[in-house]
Amino acid sequence: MAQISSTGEQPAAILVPGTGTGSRNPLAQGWFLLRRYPIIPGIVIGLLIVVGLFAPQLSPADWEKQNLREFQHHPQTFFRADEHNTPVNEAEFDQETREGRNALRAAKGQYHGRFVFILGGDHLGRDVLSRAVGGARTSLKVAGIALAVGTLVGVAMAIVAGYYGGITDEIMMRIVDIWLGLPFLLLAILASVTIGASERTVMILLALLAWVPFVRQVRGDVLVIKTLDYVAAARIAGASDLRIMFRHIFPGTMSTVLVIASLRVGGLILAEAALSFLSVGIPDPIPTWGKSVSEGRSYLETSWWISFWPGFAIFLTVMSLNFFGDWLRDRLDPRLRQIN
Amino acid sequence: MRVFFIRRFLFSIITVIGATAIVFTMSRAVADPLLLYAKPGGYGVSPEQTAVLKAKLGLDKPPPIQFVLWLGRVARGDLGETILDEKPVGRILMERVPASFQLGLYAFILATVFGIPLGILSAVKRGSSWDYMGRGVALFGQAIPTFWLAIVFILVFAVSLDWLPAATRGDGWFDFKHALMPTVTLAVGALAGYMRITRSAMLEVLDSEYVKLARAKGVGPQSVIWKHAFRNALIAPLTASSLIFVGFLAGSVLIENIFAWPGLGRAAIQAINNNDFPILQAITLFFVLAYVVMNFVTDVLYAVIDPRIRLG
Repeated sequence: MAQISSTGEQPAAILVPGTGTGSRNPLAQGWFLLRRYPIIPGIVIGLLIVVGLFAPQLSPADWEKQNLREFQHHPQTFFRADEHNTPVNEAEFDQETREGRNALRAAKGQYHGRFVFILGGDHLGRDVLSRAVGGARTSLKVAGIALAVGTLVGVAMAIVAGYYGGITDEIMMRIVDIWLGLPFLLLAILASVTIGASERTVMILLALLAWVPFVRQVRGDVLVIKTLDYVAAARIAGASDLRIMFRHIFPGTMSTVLVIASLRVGGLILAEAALSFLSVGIPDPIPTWGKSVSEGRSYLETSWWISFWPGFAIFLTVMSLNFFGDWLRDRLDPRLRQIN
Repeated sequence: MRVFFIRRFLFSIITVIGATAIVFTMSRAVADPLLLYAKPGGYGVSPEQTAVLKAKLGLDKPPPIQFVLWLGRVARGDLGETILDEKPVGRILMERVPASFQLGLYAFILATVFGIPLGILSAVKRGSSWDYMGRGVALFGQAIPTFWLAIVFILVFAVSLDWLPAATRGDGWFDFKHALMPTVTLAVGALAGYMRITRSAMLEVLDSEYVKLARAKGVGPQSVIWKHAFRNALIAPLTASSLIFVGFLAGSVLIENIFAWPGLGRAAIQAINNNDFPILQAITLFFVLAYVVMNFVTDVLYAVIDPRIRLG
């Protein structure tokens, strides 16, 4: 790694594309790649998307299926199943008598295979891993839609404000200022209580949280782009305002939009989890990570896994998204380093 | 300076009016606010009583007039009565403020004492293990859901090790054993924020022309860092500090709820569970006002410290 220390301070590791570490040691090469590209966060995010999209097919059990016999089931390892978790041989039961039939039913109820309860079962005997898989789907859906709507609104407002300037700009930016000066969580709780908690409410609230950062940053871009020659050329050629904004200015803001979007998703997922945790978010029976953490609170002394795993999933997801966002920012638009 | 001050002040007032309008609109977003008080056709609710209640709450007037009347009452400190036991909301609010304030103050001190030095250290020793640790803390603090961190703390320190009490405020202001876990959980996010802000401000200053000049003149490294860079780099975290403090107020909704801390945030959640809308409304209003006031203070502070803002 190149070292320059003429100023007396320790410079950060300088990573020039293509140079590698200069070392032939495969471990060092691997470490270099891990630091240079967001490989681990990429894997986590990819996994999350796959799991979210195919949740019903991938989850080991139905995430809504309750089984009070398996109430607070301990996590079982894949290779050593619980003693009663064995395939049922119907011939062993005397199905002529009532006792025999009951015993068979009980045995069938206790057999759940090797993949279920790897992370334990919750207070209603639902599989924690399946709940988490379902929660991934919910998080992905809610945060994704909210982000899409927020991006659309934010970018549209930014382009209009930046392009027209003057009083339009002033009013829009003041609205943004007011919005930034409000405590979001409290207003979201209030809104959720009055409007009624539902998946749609949460999406709307998250979209209301998502649009703000776009306006400020993208507007800054627009102010620069609109003075460029090609925009003037488009205007001389007779392009309408709408066309200029959409065809000529909008593409120039893409990198900023991508960077902010990637840095915002994590925050949206956290906000959704917080609302669901406070039971003003997504209502039952839809599984969410925040709600699962909240449900496990009453059982901390006996079964830690109910709360722990869904919270860990949130942490891992948001951490990966932030890592990825940071990397994307450094790649596409180092100017944005100041935000956040 | 005066023009700047007046402009910010007027803007704050506009924000307050806008925010109260939002809160008011939400309180009227349901088809009929009376539903919050008495379900139609519910047990023992006669039309006469509904009419009396309507008149009492001023719901027989058109919404804009209701808004003005409500604003007038709020300005006089009359926040209405709770639904559950018809106590004045203002008094409940006042009972709850000290606990929230204590938690916020402790967390604020903790975050400042650790966040700012860590930020400076990681900027000055960029690329060192200090820097990695600092950035690790920042990433961790921004990604971790506070409510989950609180639960993990309870699991480890209360359930497994049994070192710390899991809940309540204990004996008040100086019961640090009770305050420790809520304080740390609340401070983590702010600490990460401080660290990031300080670090990036410090890096920017260290890269500036005047610091390079000082170095070129032969000023010692300690002197450059503390006398030249540090003072300028402090502007950013200082101005952010008021916002972070108010962030605690909102963060306390989650933390107080988990640790059964008898503050405003817990009152808000209890109000949700009891369907006690006036309390929730008052607390939201309180937080909104705190936000606006702190924003205003921040702007003024910023202008006082940094001439580029007030003159630019």
